[in-house]
Amino acid sequence: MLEIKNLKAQIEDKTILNGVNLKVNKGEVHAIMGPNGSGKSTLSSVIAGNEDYEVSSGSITYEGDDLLEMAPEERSHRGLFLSFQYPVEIPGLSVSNFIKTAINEKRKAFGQENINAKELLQLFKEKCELLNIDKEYLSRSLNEGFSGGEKKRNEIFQMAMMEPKLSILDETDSGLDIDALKIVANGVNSLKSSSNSIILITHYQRLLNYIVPDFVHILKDGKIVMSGDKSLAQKLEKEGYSFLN
Amino acid sequence: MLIEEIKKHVVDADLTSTQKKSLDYFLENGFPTTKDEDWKYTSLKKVLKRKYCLKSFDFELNDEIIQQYSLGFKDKIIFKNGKIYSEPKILGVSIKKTRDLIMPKNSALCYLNEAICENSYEIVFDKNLNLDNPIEILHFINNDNDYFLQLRTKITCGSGSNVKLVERFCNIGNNTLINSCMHADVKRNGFFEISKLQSYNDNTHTIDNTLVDQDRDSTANVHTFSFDGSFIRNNLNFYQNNENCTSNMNGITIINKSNFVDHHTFVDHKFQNCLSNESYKGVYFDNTKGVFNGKIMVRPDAQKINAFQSNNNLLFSDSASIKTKPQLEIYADDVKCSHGCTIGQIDKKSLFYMRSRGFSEKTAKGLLTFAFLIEVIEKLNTREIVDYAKTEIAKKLSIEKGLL
Ligand SMILES: Nc1ncnc2c1ncn2[C@@H]1O[C@H](COP(=O)(O)OP(=O)(O)OP(=O)(O)O)[C@@H](O)[C@H]1O
Ligand SMILES: [Mg+2]
Repeated sequence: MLEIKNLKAQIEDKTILNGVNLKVNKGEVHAIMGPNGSGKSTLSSVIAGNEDYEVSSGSITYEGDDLLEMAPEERSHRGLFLSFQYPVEIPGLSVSNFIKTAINEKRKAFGQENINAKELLQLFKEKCELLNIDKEYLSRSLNEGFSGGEKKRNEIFQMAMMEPKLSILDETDSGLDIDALKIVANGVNSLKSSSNSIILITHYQRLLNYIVPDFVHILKDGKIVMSGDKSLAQKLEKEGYSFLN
Repeated sequence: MLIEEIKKHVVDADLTSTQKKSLDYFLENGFPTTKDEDWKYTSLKKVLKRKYCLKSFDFELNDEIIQQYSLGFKDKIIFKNGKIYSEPKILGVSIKKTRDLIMPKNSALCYLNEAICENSYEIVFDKNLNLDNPIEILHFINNDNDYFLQLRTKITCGSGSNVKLVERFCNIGNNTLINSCMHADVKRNGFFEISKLQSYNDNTHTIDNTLVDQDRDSTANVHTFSFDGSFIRNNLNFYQNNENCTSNMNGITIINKSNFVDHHTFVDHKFQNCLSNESYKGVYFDNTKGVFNGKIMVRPDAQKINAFQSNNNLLFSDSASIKTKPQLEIYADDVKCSHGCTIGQIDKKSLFYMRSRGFSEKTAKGLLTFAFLIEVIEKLNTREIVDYAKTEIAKKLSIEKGLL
């Protein structure tokens, strides 16, 4: 599904990703861990198509196509989803209008009609229930005045509405209280299938108890320095990053 | 020169003594220039360079053209080159042509208007009249030559009346410079609202002088939509002449090409317990220029005043510019006054966030811009006007109106 080869990326003259290799197959869950500032969010930004970062070498293929050639919106239409570490606030744009437009923009790209109102309403209802979200949220301005945890839950709500093939969850667990973490993790699990994949970026083992990864990678100084199964996360939790040295 | 043309024009005109005085005042002062503080950033030079004629002509008007410019309100007052063409029959509303219509003035242009306008109208709304729907005032303008047109209307809102108007200048002819003076006199406990739809063609240059006098317990709302027209200067003045007045001003400006819009507003708080609330938002594309100057005066006796003003702008191009200036003169001490102006661009982080959710760049920018304007749109309470604003905004943003 996704194959990253020797990816190097920089901002201005600062190299942040320094040769990342990663292969994610259909149906797999990968966790990426690593110290602050190691480049995890940068990697997810580059995958999502943020043009602030310049890819100086390497490649990313997505379903066999060159991902780096695609505009961010095209990546989204093709089923890529990034749950932002810091979701933006858009005062004046309601959650419902935002999501409706996102769905319709994708449909338009595939030459389909807009989603009909009834179908949309049903989808909203279903996903609100899944994530224990009060419907009143839908009419609020996107993320405006949302608490940290509410913003994260809203990201997963969008993910649920858009049913992506590859989701990257960048520290979706940080900021969530214990109950919310369970709800969100259950939500993510229920969206999981053999045909879609998830990359979880996290600092804590806790999330991985709920969403069990097939692989765990450690990103350090812009490189994946170690990969393993879920036991690697447990080792990290116990020992910290010092054992890498 | 236009001044010479004006002098020629008045030779055969039969001016009243007031008109003569006003003419003298105008000739002494001439058109405002960038040396005048209030016209510092707004030059009339280019606009005045044309050879305008001052005579009005008659032309055919048909329903089809009227429908094209109407928002669909049942009651319309229609003018042709400043002359009344049709009026609705509504009990408690009277329209009459008056020769000697003296109105307050805020610039030499008002004096000129007073001196040479041949079609001055007084529209009176009786006291306690409660209009269910807005009345549309449509000014159709057509001429074979370049044309300098004076429009002059006095509106009296009787005490306790509730009046909503929609005003639109519709130039279907050649180059026209419109100098419009409107004086609204809102009596005790009256409610007056006017929406000015400034969607002109490229041949239209307008100077719009609107002065509102308010008596005790009255409310006046002026919504100004500046979407098209090569040159627009709005002078909007409110005079609160008694206690407990509310003055609201809202503006949405979205312009492209090389168009120019200047909003000069003034609120004169003369009495206590009054409110003014001003919110102007501007979006500037291409080579456009904007000017905003909001003056608020709070006189010594005007205690317990709340005066809010904001002017926020988005620039979409490196060659677009906006000069914005709040001007506060406060001589009372128990006053709540706030003002703020911002000039910015579309937020890049928001743009990326939306694109990563599948929004095309155009849709994302469009919705972000609409979100920027929504605060003003939410203050509009008439469906047809909201609809008009959305249509024009969608057109400017090149997105489907259904998205808004
Ligand atoms: N826009 C930017 N301008 C300058 N430096 C940047 C920018 N974005 C990222 N960096 C730098 O790149 C490095 C990697 O940042 P990144 O956000 O990818 O780290 P991270 O692994 O996600 O960290 P955290 O665990 O704290 O979220 C950091 O040193 C950061 O300061
Ligand atoms: Mg990060």
